[in-house]
Amino acid sequence: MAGTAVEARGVSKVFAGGVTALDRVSLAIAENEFFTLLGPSGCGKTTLLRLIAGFETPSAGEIHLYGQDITALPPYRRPVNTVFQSYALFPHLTVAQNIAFGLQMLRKPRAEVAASVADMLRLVRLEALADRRTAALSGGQQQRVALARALAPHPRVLLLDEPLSALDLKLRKEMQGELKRLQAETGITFIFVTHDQEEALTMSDRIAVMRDGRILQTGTPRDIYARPADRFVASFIGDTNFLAADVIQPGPRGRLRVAGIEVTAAIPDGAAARVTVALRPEQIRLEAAGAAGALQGTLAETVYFGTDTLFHLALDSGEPLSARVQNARTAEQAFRVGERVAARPQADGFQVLGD
Amino acid sequence: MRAAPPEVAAERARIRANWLLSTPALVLLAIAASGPLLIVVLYSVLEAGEYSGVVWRLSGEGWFQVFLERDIFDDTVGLADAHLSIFWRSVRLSLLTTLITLVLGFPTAWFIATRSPSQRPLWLFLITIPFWTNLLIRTFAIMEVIRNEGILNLSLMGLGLIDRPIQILYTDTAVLIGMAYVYLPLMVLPLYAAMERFDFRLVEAGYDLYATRLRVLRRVILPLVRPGIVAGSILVFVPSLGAYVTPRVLGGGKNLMIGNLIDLQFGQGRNWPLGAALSMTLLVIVAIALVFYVRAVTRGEDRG
Repeated sequence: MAGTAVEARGVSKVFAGGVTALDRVSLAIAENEFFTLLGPSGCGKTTLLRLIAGFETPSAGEIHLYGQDITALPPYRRPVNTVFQSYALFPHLTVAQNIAFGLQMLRKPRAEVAASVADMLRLVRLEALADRRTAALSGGQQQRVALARALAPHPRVLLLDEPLSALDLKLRKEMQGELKRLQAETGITFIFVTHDQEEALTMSDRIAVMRDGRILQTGTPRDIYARPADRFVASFIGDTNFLAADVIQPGPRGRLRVAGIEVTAAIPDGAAARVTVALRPEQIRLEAAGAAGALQGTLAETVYFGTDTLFHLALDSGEPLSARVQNARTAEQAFRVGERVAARPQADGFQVLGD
Repeated sequence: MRAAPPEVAAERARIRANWLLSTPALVLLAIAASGPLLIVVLYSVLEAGEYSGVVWRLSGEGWFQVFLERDIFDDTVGLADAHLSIFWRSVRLSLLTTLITLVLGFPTAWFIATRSPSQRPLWLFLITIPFWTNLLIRTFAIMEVIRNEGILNLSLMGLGLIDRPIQILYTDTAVLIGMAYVYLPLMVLPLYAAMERFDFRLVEAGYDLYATRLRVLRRVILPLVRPGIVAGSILVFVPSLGAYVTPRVLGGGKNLMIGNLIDLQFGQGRNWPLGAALSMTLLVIVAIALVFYVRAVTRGEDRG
C-alpha cells in the first residue's frame, strides 16, 4: 500500500450541549485512495469530514496529513479542498471565477490561474459555460463546477460531502462514473461521505461503515459485503437474512446447526453457543420441498423486479427468509405462493456475526 | 367594417375601469408629492416679501444668493462663502456619518444575522427601541452626555485621564456623534436584511479555498451584502444631508448645516425665495450623489 494521506488518531468530537458526534475514531486513509465514509444520518461521518477540512476542531485526538499534525491549522492553511453537499458556489462570480477563486487566494500568477481554469473546465466538460453565473446552471452542472473549483488548487486530499444527494437518479449514476474518472485522472485522494450503500460499493476502494460516532468496520466493498462484522453492517449494506444458529464446533471450517440443517462456516474461537448468522438473499436457490441439506419452508410471497424475483419464505423454524433469484433461471419460476419449498444456501454463504 | 368583437370591448372597459379606480391614488400622488415641490420651485423664482412670504414678481435673486453675494458697501459680486462652507460641511458630515454607521452597523447586523432564527426578532426589536422616543429628547440626552459637565467629561476627569473637560458640544464632532447615533438603525436594518439572505456556508467555502478571514470578508461577504450596504448608505446619507434638529441642538449656532440654513431663510432671514432655492439645491445635491453612488456600485458589480 502507498503512503498514508490522512490519519485520524483517537479523534473525538463533543458538541456544545453534550452531543458526542465522534467517539475516539482512528483511521488511516492511503494515498490515491477512493475512501468512503458510509453510515446513516447522524453517524458522525460529516463531522469527521469537517474535522479533516478544519471547519471544526476535535475535542480530543489528532489529525495528520501526510505525517504532519494539522489538528490546529485553520482550513485555509490545509492543502485539502471540499465539495460541499449544497455546492456553496459563489453566486456573484461566474463559473470560471468560481474555479479560479482558490488559485487566486493562493496568489498564483495570473497566467497560471488562467491555464488551470481552462484545464479544469475541460476536465469537467464545462468550457461552453465559463462566463455564466452559477445560478443559471442545472444541478449537474453546478455539481461539476463545485468539483472543478475544489480540484483546481490541486489539493492533496479532496473531501466530498454527499455531493450527489441532490441529483436525480440518472444524473447521479452519470456523476458516479465521472467522479471515478476524475479520481483516476488526477490521482488525488478522495474522501467521500455518503449514506447510500450502493454508491459506496460501486465507487470506493475502501469503505468505513460508521454508526453513533464510531467506525464499525473498514474494508474493501467486497470485504464489507461478503464478511460484515456485525448485524448493523450486514443490514446496512445490502439485504440480508438473519438466522439463529447453534455452534456445534468452532474453527475456520466450523459446524453450525441452522433451521434444522447442519452447515459449514468460519466460526471464531470463543463464539457463544448460540450465534446469529447472515445469509445474503442471492446466495439461495429454491428447490422442490424435501431436498436434502436445504432449509424447508413455505413460499409466502413473490415480488417481481424485472431482472430478478424476490421470494419470501416462512421457514419451518418460524424464521422468515428471502431469496433473490435471477429471472434468467427458470427453475424457480414454477413455485406458487402457499407451496412448500426448500431453500438451498450457497456452500460458503453463512457469515457468523459479532454482537 | 364590423364593430370590435365583444372580448376587445370588454378588455377596453376593464382598462378604463382600472384607470378610474387608480384615480384617487394618482390625485394623492400629484398633490402630496409633486405639488409641494412645484410650489418650492415657484417660490424660488419670485421676489422676497418685505416681512416674509413672496411678492408675485419673477426674480432670479433667490438663486443668485445661493452661490453669490453682493458686497454691502460697493456692490461687487463674490462667491457666497458662508453658503458654500455650509454645503461643504453638510456633505462632509453626511459622508462621515454614513461611514461611521457602516463601520458600526456592519458588525451589529452580522451579529444579529448569525443568531438563531428564534433570537433574531428580539435583537431587531432592541435596535428599534430608540425610535420610540422623540428625536429632540434623544438629542438633548446626547447633549447631557457630551457637554463639559456631562457624564463623559466628568468620568474622564474622575479617572484622572484629563484635567480639563474636552469641548465636544457645539463642534462638528458633536453633530457627527448625534447623527451617527440617530441614523445607525437605518444602516443596521437594510444590512441585516441583506445578511439574512446570505448563505453562511459560502464563508466555509471561502476558508476551504485558502481565503483568510479578511479576504473572505472582502471577496465573498462584501460583494454579496452590497445591496444592503447601498440601501443603508442611501437611507443614512440622504436624511443626514438635510438634518435639522441634530446640528441645531448639538452644533450650537455656528455649525450650521443646509437644513438650518434653509430654516433661517424662512424664519429670521425672511427670504423665502432664497430658502426655496436652497431647498432645490439640496435636492439636486442628493440626486447627483445618488446617481454617482449607484453608478459606482453597479460598475463594481460588473467587475464581479
